[in-house]
Amino acid sequence: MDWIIWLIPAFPLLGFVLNALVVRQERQAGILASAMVGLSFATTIAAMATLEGTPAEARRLTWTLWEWISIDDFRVAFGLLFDPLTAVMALLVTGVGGLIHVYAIGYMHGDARPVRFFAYMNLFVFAMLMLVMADNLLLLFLGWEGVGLCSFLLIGHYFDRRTVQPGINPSDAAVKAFVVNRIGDAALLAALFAIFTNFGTLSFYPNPQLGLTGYLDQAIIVAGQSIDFGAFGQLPLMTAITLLMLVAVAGKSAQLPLYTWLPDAMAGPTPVSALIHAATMVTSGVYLIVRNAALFDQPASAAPWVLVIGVVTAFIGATAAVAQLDIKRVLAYSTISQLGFMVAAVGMGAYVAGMFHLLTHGLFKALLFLAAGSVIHGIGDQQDMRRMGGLRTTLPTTFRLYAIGALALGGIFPLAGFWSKDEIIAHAWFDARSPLAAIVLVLTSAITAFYMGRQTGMVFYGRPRDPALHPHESGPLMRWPMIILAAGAIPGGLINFPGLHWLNSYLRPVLQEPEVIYTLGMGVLATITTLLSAGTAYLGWKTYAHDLELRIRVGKDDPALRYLGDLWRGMEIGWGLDWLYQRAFVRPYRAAADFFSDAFDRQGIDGVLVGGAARSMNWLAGGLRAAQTGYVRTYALAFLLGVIMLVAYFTLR
Amino acid sequence: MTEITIPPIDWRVATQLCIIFGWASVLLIIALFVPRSRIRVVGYLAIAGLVVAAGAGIPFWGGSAETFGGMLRLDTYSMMLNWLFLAAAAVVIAYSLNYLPKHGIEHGEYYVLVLFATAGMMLLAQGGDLIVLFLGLELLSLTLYVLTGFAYPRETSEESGMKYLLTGAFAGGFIVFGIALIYGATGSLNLAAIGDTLARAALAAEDRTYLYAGAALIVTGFGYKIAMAPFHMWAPDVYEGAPTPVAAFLSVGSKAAGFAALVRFLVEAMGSQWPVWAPALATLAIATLLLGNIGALIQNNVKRMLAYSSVGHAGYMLLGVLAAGAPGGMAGQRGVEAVLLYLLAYMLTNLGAFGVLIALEQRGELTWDINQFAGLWARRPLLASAMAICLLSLAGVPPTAGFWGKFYVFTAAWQAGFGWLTIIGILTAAIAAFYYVRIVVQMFTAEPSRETPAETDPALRAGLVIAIAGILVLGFMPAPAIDLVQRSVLATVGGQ
Repeated sequence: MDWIIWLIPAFPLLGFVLNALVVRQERQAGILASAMVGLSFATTIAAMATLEGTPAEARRLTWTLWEWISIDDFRVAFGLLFDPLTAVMALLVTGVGGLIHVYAIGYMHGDARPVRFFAYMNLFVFAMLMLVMADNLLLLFLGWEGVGLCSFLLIGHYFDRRTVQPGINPSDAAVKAFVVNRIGDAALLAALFAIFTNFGTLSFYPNPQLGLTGYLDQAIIVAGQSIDFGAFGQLPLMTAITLLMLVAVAGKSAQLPLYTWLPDAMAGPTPVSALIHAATMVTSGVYLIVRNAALFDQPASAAPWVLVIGVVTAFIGATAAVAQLDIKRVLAYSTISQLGFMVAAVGMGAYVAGMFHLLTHGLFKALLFLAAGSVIHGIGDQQDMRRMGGLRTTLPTTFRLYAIGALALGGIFPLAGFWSKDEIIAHAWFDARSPLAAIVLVLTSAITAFYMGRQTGMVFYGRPRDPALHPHESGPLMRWPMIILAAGAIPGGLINFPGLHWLNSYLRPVLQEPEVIYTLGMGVLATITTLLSAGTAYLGWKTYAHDLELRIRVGKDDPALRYLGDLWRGMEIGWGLDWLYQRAFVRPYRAAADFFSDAFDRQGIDGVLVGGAARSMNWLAGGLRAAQTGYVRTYALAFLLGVIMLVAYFTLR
Repeated sequence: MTEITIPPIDWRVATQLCIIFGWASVLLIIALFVPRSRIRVVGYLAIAGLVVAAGAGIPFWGGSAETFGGMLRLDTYSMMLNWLFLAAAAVVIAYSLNYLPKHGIEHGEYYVLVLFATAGMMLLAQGGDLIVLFLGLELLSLTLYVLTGFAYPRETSEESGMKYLLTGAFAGGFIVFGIALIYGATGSLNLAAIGDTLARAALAAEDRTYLYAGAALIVTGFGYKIAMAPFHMWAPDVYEGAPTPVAAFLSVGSKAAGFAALVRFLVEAMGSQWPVWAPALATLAIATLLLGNIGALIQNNVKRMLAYSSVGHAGYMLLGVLAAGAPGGMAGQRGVEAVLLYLLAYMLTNLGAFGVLIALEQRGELTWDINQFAGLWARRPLLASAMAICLLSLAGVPPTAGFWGKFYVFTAAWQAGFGWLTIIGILTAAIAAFYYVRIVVQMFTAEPSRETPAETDPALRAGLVIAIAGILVLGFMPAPAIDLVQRSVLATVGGQ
């Protein structure tokens, strides 16, 4: 029965193939795509049931279809792995993914290329499942590249539009996402090489079907080795591998310093933002670290750096989210910030907490994006929050769902976000003994609540600022997926509720993480955090729904700019990283490329080699034509000259 | 007084030759009694004779024999070439069956002349003696002069016949002079005997000079026949003016016969002198490759372009000849095989291309402009596909026969140590691809400037189908053909 795990990615792949080759109608494409992800979800449940029957010390299903690569010692299986960690990821991908697919049927209605959209969405789900189900690093890399490709394709879905709100060129945004991700991909490849050369295998765990060893249980054996960089000194092997993986994570999960692609990725359709750029793909970096926890647990690993990157990204992302004026960009920076929480958690070794937040965030961030999409859809494709206002009366359902998502994200008791975020903060304070990280995270949490309050206030409260808008509530196809997600976001904390810690127990066969003993101190910390968050949330709401409401004008700066000045400007542009990269890398690169293209390609190869060769050949041919006079005497002369030369050569040689 | 003994004659060696000669003579008389309206019957009979001759060779395959005191040879090499000549002649006659009446030049002698020319080619392939080679050459040339000028009263045909005659006579003179010099130096006309003498290095310095001068002149003469630069200048003019089936015959049969004789002379008689002649021939090969392919580059007249292209192809085959002479057994054999395989591929391809040209040719219209091919795909898709396959094969694009020909030739030349020559060959092949593909582009993408009607008849179609099928079969399954040429061994000394 273990082979059924192959059905999980097979369904979306089938959906992709059918949508790409057979289906021509929008409605059919949407239904097919959703049904395929739904089947995949059902298969995941079935696989989880099968998984329960395996012994706890070897709780995993594996199935190798064939030996993918076999070159001497380099042997890679084309095999899938299904263990509790994979199970929760697959459940998130297919569950939330399925809901978003259904939502997209409504959202993408009337789009110019709906079939292509659904085909790519299914392809994405397939690639994402390959990523989380791969039983070796190379197959994971295939999925890793696959999701990157789908991300590129779907961000550029509106490639025929010059700009989408807020002034992004979709094609440029897609290219940017792809190129920035390549940095991380290259690092992952390098990590892969380092792992193969030192462990001799790329399988995570021993593969009984092909007789391959796994590298994760050998981490201790090679922990002491170093890589010699010659003049640059030596680097412990574990540091090198985990550092490279961290770069990969920074690319895929939008961490410092590579997060700049994510805000622009909002150029894609909103369901894409919800699925790929909030709930699933961007979390694959966190998954990568959790899967390789055995490496990050080694003393020489780069785990402290992971923590630093995570914490700083969380803070930076949250501050940038405060000053955004586009409804989706707020959520994009918020995603960067929340991913920072997860990365910080896994950097501290709190893998279960990281996974916990990954799951709850997947629910409420998807909900927020879908609700934002519902707003955008309802007011005629407007994303500028300054045009909104007072939508709580005209879009009542959307408002309620959005409020649930915002409270969950803000970490307000008792919604899902509170529990998962608090666990990370508690871990930082009590277990990791890193009060600085904990304080920054608490602060970030408060800022998070503030910008969600601000956003809710701007969008749903106050007066309607744009009389041209005629808001209408979304239809049931869009509403029901949101309601289901909201129903998950409210009690989502239950999955790792203090004292119950179901997720912890479920993941124990993989992570062997001890249960957290809850103390009074944790309760106090949680109370402080949530009260702080509630306060800032109220502050944000009050400021933008009442105090400054009258000064929010369409096309004008945020009223807070007056009070914070350049600081606000910095937050608005995401702390200028884009600006810096543009000047430090993009422009010099473009200039160099232009130079080489002109000097070598246009003038050198095209001009001298290609054009020159053609011209010289024509010139030669013209000369020959002139010699071909048509007179026999000319021919005889040439003949004679040839004879003389030949005879001369032979006789005088 | 010594008794003159006539050595027993092995008629098997001359069977095919006798059939063709005899049948040609008989047909000449038959043609007198066939009414003018039925003259194509002579063509059918000629084809029948060619088929019989080809079949008559089958029992002798594999052996090696000589007769008339070593003047005539039959080895697998010449047998293979004989079949090539017979097949080419049959296709050319098939092409002519409707071409001649369409252009008002239908005479029974035409078919007879083709048969005589074929016999001349076979003599060139089978000759073991310089006199026989000269005889074959003259027989071939004289009939081809007549055939070239056959489209009387068309002036271009007359002109090209005259040009061919003048330059051919010029070249023939050199060959006779060369034969005389060689006889003077070695006292023998037999190729094997000459080779033997040279191998023993039993020549005085003076004789050696005469021998080399004679060899140079003979290379000149055969070089003229294969259109080797700088003795190639007749080719474009003659091809253009000759009736198109005759041009096809010239480009295929006559060139193959020239190569047959050149290889025999250089390998059998001059094999031991390879270090002497190889540099000279290599230089000529480069000149041929460059002049042929560059000359074809600017031709808008497709018939002239094919003429120049045939000069270029002679250059590729010269690479094989160079390898054929290389010492060390294996390399030499590879070279002979390469020449034969290239000839086979080239013959199929050029016959196909000229066949399409014939289909497009209108009475009295003599432009053969590249524009006539514009939009051919839309009008006659099959014809356009056939032409495209031929052109791609000429360019040496896989999977066509031409690819394997070039591949084999380049491999042989490379193994024989002509690395730089191989590179020049590949570069000129790249140039050649340009002008071949130009026509393909015209056929498939361009809008026709003027509708050129294309007519085919069953005989022409049959010839085209044979050629195209051959190109593709050889292209996809080269193994049988390679196997065949690998069995075609040049029996070096006296039928051993």
